[in-house]
Amino acid sequence: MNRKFGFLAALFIGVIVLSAAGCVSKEQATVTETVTGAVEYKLAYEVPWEEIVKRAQQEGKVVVVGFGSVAEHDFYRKLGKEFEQKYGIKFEYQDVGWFKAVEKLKDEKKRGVEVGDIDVVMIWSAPFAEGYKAGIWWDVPIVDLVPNAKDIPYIPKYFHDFYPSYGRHVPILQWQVAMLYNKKWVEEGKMEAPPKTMDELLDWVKRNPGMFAYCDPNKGGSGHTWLISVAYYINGYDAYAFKPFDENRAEELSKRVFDYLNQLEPYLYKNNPYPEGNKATIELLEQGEVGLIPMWTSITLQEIQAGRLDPNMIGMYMIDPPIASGGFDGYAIPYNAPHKYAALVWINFMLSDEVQRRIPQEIGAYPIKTDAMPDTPTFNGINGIGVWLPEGIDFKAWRDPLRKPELRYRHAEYMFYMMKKWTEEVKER
Amino acid sequence: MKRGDKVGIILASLLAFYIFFPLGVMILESLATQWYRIQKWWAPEKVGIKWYVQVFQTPEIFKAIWMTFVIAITVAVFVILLNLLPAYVIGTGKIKFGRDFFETFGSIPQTVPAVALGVGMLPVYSRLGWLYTFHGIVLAHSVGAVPYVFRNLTNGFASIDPELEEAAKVFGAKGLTIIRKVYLPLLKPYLAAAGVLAFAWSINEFVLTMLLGYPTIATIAVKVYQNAGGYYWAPHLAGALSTLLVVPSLILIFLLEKYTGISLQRV
Amino acid sequence: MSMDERLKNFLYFSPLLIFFAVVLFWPLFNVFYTSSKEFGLANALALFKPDKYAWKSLIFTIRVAFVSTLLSAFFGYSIALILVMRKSYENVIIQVLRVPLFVPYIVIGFIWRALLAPKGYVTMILNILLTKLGFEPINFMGKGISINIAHIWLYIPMIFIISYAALVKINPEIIEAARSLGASGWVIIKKIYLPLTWRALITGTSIVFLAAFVGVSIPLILGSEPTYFPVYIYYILNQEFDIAKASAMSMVFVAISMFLGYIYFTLSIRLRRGGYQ
Repeated sequence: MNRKFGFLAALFIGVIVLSAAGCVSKEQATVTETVTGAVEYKLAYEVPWEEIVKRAQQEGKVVVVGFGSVAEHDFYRKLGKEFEQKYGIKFEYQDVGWFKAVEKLKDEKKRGVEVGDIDVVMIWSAPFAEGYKAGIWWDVPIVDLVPNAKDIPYIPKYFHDFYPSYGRHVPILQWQVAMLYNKKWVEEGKMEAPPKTMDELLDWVKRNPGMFAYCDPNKGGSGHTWLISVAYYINGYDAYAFKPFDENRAEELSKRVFDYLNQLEPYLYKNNPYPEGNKATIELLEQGEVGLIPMWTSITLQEIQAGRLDPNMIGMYMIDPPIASGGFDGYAIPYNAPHKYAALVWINFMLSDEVQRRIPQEIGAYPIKTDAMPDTPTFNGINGIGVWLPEGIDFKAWRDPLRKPELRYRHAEYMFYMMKKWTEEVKER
Repeated sequence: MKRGDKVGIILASLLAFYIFFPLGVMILESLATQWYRIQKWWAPEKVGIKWYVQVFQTPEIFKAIWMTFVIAITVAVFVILLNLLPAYVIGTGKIKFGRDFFETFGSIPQTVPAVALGVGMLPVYSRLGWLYTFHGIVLAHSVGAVPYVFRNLTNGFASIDPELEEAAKVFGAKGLTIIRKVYLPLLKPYLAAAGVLAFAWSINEFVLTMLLGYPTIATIAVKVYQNAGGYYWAPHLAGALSTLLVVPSLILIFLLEKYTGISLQRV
Repeated sequence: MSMDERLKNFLYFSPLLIFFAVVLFWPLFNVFYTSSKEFGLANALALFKPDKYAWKSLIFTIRVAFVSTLLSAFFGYSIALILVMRKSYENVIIQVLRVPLFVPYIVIGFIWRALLAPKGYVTMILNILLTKLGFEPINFMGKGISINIAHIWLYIPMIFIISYAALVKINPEIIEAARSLGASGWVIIKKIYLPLTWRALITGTSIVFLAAFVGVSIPLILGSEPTYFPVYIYYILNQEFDIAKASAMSMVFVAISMFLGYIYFTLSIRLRRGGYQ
């Protein structure tokens, strides 16, 4: 008995010593990495890019916070290894997401922490704007400092879901929601061919009751992107694009949108018309519960990779008028980032053509740089089916500002207003 | 024990099926590399260890496994130390005045919802600078572990013949020496039980870790949630992580009980 | 007892007192303070008007927790009774039934989410049976019953362990005496087992109800409409970051769960005093 407990005690002490040693060695490791002082950063505008890269290498490390699904995290980690090899800068990835990063930075700002431990945060419009108000971002137009950011289309470069980003945010990729449907069922006659236009949707849903469902807008991005797209369809895109937010106006505009959604409701998937989250929604399609859903192209691809969605079963297309772009997410640098030059170099790396070209193939999102989109998209692994590019979209023409702008941007403030109201106006009614 | 009793066999096998079938499905989910349920709901088309490989390729997983166990061990030791003296005075009946109150005292955390506690802790921790720190999480996990440890240790002290203490006093032993020399050797099984329960509690704890520690401190429970919550429902990875969490701890508990002959209860 | 002794006893308790003061009482005080100061007590109570979501969520939660408790109490106690009366394979059954107690709640939630998915095993097997018998197939997603099913997998063992511990303490001679007087199984249950163990059963059910009522993990993963109350608080905190509203709801939550806790403690103290029940 005694020997056993002696063993346990020794094991415990060993664990404590090891963990202490772990802490110490980690601290020693950070000593060799330099932290650039706040003052020096003010000169960043005047420094040529080569010099920034040199200073980044002196800093020796970059800590990136990302969000997303497992496949996305893996993609960033893989790129991180290549980045390390290319620049000799140590890459550390944290899969903690923007929410916790923003909370942490706000907490640090409040306590006056001048040197933090995050260098880059991947973020979307609303929390970026919230953080901007709280002053947690590095107050420098980084989008103008990064050479590879030159070719980013104008609107996403300076606006993020119609929030002005003042260049403090560098978009990296574009998410997109499209209509995903069960092609087999259409062939077998279990379901009519899905509606090509929004005008036909309501009638289609009535004729095919229980076949359509959309994600709860407060539980997943495909839901709120669908919500704002319905608003664009009902009230016209021009009623929102670049318009300032006004609560009375929002209420006025939203009425008809909610009316429309309430008309849809009785014909939606009867067991659970608003699944809790993107994955819960696509799961319904995978398991043969519904036949048509608005879904992210990226999640569709990832579900195929995870072996749960049969690529031969599905079709994906863009309805007309199109579903709004699901945001041009990208990077912001915290005010107290310890390695700001390295952060800039990482962002530049993510905007390089080599990396941009891989975005559609590996995670099913679109590159921010239009030219990086491959002409004939190939798909990793499964039968070469390009499920991630919805039928009927010519990517380059879609992005072309000189043509009729078919690519629509989300208006974050109106979208938020509707998300909050949706719960009481539609779901709980 | 009557072997061969039909009702016994049926009951035992029904219960075994009821308990182990869900655990089997957990393992199956982690092994299914292709499973189109719309065609075949009862079995995956392809199985393999692909998802385990993927889990082990992410560096955060090792950090999370490491963190989970270091936090759990620290919590177990800390809560035992914290409860040793109170359990001693209660268990040996030293407190006569307000005994009910003190007896109940150690069980208070059981009635406090973890979410509500987290809501209250956020501003407190922010003020103390304990957010996202190791000790902050250890303390937060300890709260819920107190009742289990307190009850086990109290029972332990109560089971020991008080005359032993008297005898020790005759030989001139005092205060802490009595606890150390007289009680501790006899308490070992209860200490082990209390330790394992605190350990299990800490491994189980999820809400407080998520609210107070998450960016810096992630445990396996948090990782399971990330892959099992509605937003990123990834049953293959959640299954692999759950298997890595559940199977070793069940084996550990089974061995510990066999080894020390004590019974561990959660309630 | 001298003053000195009392002081000493208090000193023995001081580490635990300080610990509770910092990480338990201060946060709880904060919940009450924030909700009354920043949110206003009137506003807090207004959240629980019958047409408000918080109220719906609370009632739903109490209902689900109640059903889970009832089902687990019935099955858990029945299994314990069968075991005590037949004494066959008891070691195997005890070992098996303790397994769920060491599976993290979050994992339990995950497992049942997979089993109760539209094409999950439980749903499919049940629906095949139901359609054969001529009933409508059912769907578990987002329904309270899915939480019940996951709950009882964990709570049947809990009730079982508590009631079994009480049942085995009953002197077998009493049972033998009753048998020799010709009492049937039902009579023995009604006249001996139940009267001698009802307190243990009540303690067990109150622990289970409390645990089911406050637990986040299982309903968080399974999801429900309306949202389970603790999950609703978690969402308000972690998605809306409205700490004032979360505090107001937590206050009500703490008040209810502490009241339940009080009942449980009173019972369990009586139980310990009352001999072998």
